Amino acid sequence: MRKNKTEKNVIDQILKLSLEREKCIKEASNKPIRKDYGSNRVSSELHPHSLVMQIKEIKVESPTTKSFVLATESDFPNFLPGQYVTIDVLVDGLIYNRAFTISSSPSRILQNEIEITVKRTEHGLISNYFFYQVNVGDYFTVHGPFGNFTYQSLRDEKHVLALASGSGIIPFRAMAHTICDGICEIDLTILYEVPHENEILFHEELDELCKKNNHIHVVYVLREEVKEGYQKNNISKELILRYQKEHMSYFVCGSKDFYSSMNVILKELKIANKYIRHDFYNECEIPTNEETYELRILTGGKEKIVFGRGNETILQTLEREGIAHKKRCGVGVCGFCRSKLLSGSVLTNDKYLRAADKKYHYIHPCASYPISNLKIRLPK
Amino acid sequence: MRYDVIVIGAGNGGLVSALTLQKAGKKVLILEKNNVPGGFVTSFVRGRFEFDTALHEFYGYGNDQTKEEIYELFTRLGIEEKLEMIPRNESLHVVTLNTHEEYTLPVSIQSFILKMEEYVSGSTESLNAFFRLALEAKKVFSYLNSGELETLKENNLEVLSFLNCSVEEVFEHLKMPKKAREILSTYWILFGSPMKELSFVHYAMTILSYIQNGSSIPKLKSHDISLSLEEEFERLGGTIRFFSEVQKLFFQNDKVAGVTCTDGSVFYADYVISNIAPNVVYGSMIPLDHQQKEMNQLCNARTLGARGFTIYLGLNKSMQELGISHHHYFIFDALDSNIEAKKMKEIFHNGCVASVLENEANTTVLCITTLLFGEDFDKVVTSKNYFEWKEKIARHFISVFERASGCSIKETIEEIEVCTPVTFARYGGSPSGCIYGYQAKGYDNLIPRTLHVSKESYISNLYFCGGFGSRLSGFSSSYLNGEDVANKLLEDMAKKGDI
Repeated sequence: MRKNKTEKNVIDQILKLSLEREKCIKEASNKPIRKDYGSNRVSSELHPHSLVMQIKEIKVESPTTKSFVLATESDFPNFLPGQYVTIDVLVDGLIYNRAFTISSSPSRILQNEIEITVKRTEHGLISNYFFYQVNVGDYFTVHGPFGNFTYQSLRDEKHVLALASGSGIIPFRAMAHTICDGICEIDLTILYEVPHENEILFHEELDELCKKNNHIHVVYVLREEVKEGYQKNNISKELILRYQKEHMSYFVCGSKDFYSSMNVILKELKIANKYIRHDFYNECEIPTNEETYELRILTGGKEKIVFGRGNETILQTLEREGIAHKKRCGVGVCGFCRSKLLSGSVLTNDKYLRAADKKYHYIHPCASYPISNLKIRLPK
Repeated sequence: MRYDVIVIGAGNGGLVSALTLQKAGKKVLILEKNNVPGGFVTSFVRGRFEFDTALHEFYGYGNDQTKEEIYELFTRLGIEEKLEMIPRNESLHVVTLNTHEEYTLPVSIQSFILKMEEYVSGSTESLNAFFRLALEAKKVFSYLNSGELETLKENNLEVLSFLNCSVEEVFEHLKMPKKAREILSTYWILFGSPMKELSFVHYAMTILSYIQNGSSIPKLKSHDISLSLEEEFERLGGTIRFFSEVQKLFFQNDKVAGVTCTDGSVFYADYVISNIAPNVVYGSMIPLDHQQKEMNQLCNARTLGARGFTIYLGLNKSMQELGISHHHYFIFDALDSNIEAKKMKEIFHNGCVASVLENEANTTVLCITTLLFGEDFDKVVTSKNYFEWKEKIARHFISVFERASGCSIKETIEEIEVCTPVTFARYGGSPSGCIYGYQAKGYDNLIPRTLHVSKESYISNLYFCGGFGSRLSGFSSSYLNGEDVANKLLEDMAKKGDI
């Protein structure tokens, strides 16, 4: 008796649930499915797949440095000072993707433009290309903005001491403008080291910003020149101590050697990690090994064989060989190029790899140098 | 290239579906738009911290003695031995800010009931009944899920009278003391539905596994699970392509014949499983001449589940130095889930969960996740004010955690990353940045969904798995659903003689 009752009860209940669901669906509107949610809209505005941008203006900043104003016809996404874009550059039939920190303030996106600043280095293929080949009116494909070398009010102190050398001033120029534009309410003291006075980037502009806004302060340090009104030698412990405040965050940007020396000083000053931010850079020692290795590259279901060198990152080899690949930061930090090492060994910095990625032999090929023949699978 | 099955999206569901099919000898291709497997379940590195994006606690795993569902699933899939799981010793720790309550309950049903009796005297009998029903609920669901309705009918189970009931209705029936109900309701936030809406069977069977054998976390983050699944899938000959975002499905004779990706690549398959939301597939991927009004009706009849907002913090002190004494916190104003869920329609509420992990060199990883119901955030957010909103909401919930834990953490933040519905919309493509699939309520609860899987299959060779699927959202349910869907597909293949 009880059994029959339960049986009927179960069927009834199931039927009821089923009917209710059917009814609700049948009664629902057959209008097109909604897609216009604010979060989806903002996500596509902030992260466009890529943008076509045109060079609008080129400015000479120093004998070796130029700024390029890039303009888009659509909106350039909102970003934070310190972030970078990557640009596809076509040189001799090969596409090179390079990261450039945005040197302009986010407020410039109201005019749909950003600025990047490129320092020419002696053997830099792309920096030389920008310096000598790029003209007003040229078009580029731009990706981004990306990166987290940015001020975070929940983490950083209200007073930032920027330690910059050479073109390391670029993110701080953007940051200084942001303060001046009233977007960011912090104090920014910049210690800026260059070899000679004529290599100071944005010199007048920075002076102007300091005059306009008493939250911005710049101290120039000339490494190879003695001049009145400038500090001499390097950014030293003593110099930092002179500008140090009790509550302060230290933002570092410059060459690899500069990072090393600043790290030493900040360690001596017992500054906790929390207060030190540095822009991304290749933390690997570039090997002197010039040996040639065979790289078997699995991509798109095919295997391609190329030859790389011990002092060349795997991504540089791919770039040179014209093999399509993904690249973003280019120095092993962001993980965009993450690929699987199927055999062989590399010299790399595994600091930015996920624990499980290490376990399963993933590497960031943009900062990995072969030390044997190897087989690698690209993400696509 | 031609495949037996294409799986769109390498989330928990997609990975398990793909591996199950590959194990059964099928030729499977996974197309994933990002560069790592796992979907919303992934991790990222900032400085000396690695953050698990989605996992707080993983239930349904057990250990090599208790061998729960996921343990068994991972054993079947051949990845169990590759993982190292760390068990958690509490099953529940909840703090309320307005009513100033705090309850901590241990693992194992018996200890749980004993402790509850200490908190709420006279609660033992109703809790015993609750867990008895919960054990039955698990059984009932497995019959329903495998379509064994006959077996179900023959079973003289008490829980069968409650198939249609919300948790609240069963609490009422059991005459559980109010405070015990409230405490036992705490897990509601993991389901994104309050006790009035959530089906008893679903809630009871899920929290049973939480309490019975406790939860655990993978030592190398949940990325280890995703990679282990991927590794095994590839070892068996499966193909996974990253940076491959599916744009459209294309058809031949009313059946999906393949997919095209945003990069122009084209793949052919006899069957397609989508690990992404039906709203996205039906709304954007079906060519006009294959759209059916039922697809729109199905999506329009449902409510999107909770939107996610997570704050990832790397703290430069140890848990001990910080004074944080629990690994997991449920935080609310008060314990009534129906009231709390209503409050969470607004952006600045106080409901959230926090997970705390020891990290190397005396540092701590803290993740605070909150849910936003409804569209308040969608309505206010613009690309111009986005960074401010992100900061404001994060600041609020950091304070909420400080109040709840009594620990000061602001001064110790070494790394911070904040994911908002905008982040989830971008990373997973989910509508409105929703991370909980469709909301569990009334006709969209576990049982009606399970019963209607076949009826709501408008395209015979297109399947859905994962958080928007029939087992609803959640870490373990997505894995299990992945296997369900693969098995269903194999059955259908066999019927059609495609095997």
